[in-house]
Amino acid sequence: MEDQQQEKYTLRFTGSSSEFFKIWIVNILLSIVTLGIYSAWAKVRTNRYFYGNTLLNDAPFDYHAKPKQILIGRIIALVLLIIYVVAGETSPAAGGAVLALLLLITPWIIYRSIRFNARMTSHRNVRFNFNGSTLPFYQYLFLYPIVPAIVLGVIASIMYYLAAPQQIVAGITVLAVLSLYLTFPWVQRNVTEYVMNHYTYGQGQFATSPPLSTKKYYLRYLVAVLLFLSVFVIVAGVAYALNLFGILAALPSGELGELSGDEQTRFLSAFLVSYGVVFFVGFIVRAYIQAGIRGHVFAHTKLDDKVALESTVTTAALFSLLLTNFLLMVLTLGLAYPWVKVRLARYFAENTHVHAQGDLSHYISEQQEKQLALGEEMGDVFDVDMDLGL
Amino acid sequence: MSKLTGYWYPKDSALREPAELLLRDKTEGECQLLFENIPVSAVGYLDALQVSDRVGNIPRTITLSDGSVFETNDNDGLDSILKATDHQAAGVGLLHIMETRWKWITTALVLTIILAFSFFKWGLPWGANKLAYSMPIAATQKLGDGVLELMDSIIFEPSALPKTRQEELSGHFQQLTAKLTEAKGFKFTFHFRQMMDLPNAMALPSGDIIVTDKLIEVAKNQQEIDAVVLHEIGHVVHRHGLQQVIQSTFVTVLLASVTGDISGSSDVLIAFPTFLLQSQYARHHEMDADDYAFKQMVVLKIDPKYFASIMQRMMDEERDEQSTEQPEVNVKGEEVPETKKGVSSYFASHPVTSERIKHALEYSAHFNASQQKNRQE
Repeated sequence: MEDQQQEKYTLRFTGSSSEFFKIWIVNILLSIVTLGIYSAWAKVRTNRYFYGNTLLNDAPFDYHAKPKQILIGRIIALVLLIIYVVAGETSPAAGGAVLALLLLITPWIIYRSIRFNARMTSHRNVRFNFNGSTLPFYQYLFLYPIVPAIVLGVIASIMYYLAAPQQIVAGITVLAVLSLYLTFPWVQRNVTEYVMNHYTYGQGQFATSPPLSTKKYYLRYLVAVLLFLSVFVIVAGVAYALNLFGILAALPSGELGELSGDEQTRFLSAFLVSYGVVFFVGFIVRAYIQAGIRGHVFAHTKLDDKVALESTVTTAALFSLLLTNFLLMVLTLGLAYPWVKVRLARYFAENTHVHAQGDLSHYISEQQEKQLALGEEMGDVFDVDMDLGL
Repeated sequence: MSKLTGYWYPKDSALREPAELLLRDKTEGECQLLFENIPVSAVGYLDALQVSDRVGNIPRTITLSDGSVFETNDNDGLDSILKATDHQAAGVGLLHIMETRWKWITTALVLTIILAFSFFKWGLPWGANKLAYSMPIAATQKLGDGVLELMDSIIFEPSALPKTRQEELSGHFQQLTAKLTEAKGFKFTFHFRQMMDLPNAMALPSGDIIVTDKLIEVAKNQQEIDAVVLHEIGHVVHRHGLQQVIQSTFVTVLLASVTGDISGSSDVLIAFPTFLLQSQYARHHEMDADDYAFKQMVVLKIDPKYFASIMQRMMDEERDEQSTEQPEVNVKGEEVPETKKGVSSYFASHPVTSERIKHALEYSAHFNASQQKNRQE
């Protein structure tokens, strides 16, 4: 009630990279030796390690999926993967058909994935849940994004038949294709809004209040894209100034070996530097988008209107984290993965805060029927993930 | 230590009360729950209770008989209680031991590297070979259906050879296939195309064999063309295409399932070893097809030296196509002999051409020696 103090709890992560490194190594080794079967156990152990070491008000989270259900889901998903690979190798038509089928069920996979992960997560002995349905995922991921593209496509065809100038038809067609990309912030906002409003903790309901702002999503992506483009333009400009394009064009057969040694080194180093710069800026952009979206979504999300979330992730800190993680991974050929994962977990935990009046003691788990891990595992195997930017 | 400190939750509830769990009787495994040192009730016998597995040092839970949950940070204490009462969860401690002792980890690491290496180097090719040969020929020739159409729309242009010449060549090749060993039951169809003015030949598992106009042009005689076509037939008869598919499918699937929970960098980390492995398997098949061609040439009484001569000419032809009439020059301006490829040849799916030529000439020497012997007898 009103007379209760508002407390701010910051999440804590108590895991360590060296501890997780050993678990991770054993996971990989046993997975290889068992030809992948142990990977289901590995996944459960990894998730339990990270959930169990994340504390809110000194109480841990927990992950309840059973390895056997993960394994069954994985086997089914792998059978489908084999079908996909074999179809692709056998004939291009078969490969295309299987791919189309997989694309068609992607929104369903995303839905099942979100639901499974929610139900397998608990905090203080009470389970989360997701009470949404599949249809909105199809609407937000398939239907709505292609409407502008279809409308523009129809306009383009009409103009074509009306013998409009080529440039106009081409321009509208390009716009139609572009619109698929342009709708992405809107799609992401819609899916996030839907998910956050159908997440539950025990009998409590999460909700966004006020609803997420589409304008904020677009602004953030716009700035990110402009930043990226301007760097790209600068790099291209410098390359042009150094006449690098001229050199390339002048080669009789496009072979680098044609150039003199000095020109070769100049060209290659310029290429690497510009590639590196663009890559570097890519990290800034990623950090900028994720920090902003996470901050916005958490600021608007409440449980039962009484428990509020907050994210203090900043672009600068996240950028340096992403960059150093990447360098670590490259330098160690992937062996630094446990360090990377622990660093990220710690950073996100320390920058996630919960504002609550009183504590969460009055929550009670709802009854849940058993769920097959199929959607979640398919999402895993086919690397399908809806990036909500959280 | 037979007393554990932790928290207690009523069934399905987030209510969290400090509590202790006392092991009253080691042999019976009887436990008691205490709140502020006051015993509440006998909660039952440990071996009937669910205990969550140990992972590192995360808090673990014991689900009591009424559905309530006892949570504790005292992993070592819990482990010793489980061992003392012979609880089945004690066995899972083996994983935890592996995950905490460096001795175990390094042993397992070495073992796994050896296992994985031998599997990919010998086990998988052997398995793919056995599987490919166990399939009926008609099934193996189903692979590659529609690929020719695809290639026609992307890289092939129609042949400029006159129809009669094409039919003449096809007829000749079909006659060849009738005399081959190991080719019984296989159907072959010969196609003629142009491919960017390059001399080339390729075979699809379906038995479609494609020869480019430039190859026919560059060849000095029928034997040279036959040599190349026999190599391609070798690919079909030895089911290389099918083996490749089996191997690459397996590698992809295995890596995907093993690294399933590694994200991000996994794409690069998987693609690279997969690519390396594919190149290795492919080169092995190329050498095998070469051997098949040499053996068949001996059977058909064609001197294997024609294989060497056409290879040499194709290599020269490709060099001329790519640049001016200069030998390869590296960054320092030195000439690069073809054999000095080192790392790059590991990536090449064809073995180095000069090696293949040398091989052909060795077969040719044997062939001529035995021809001599036959003539003398």
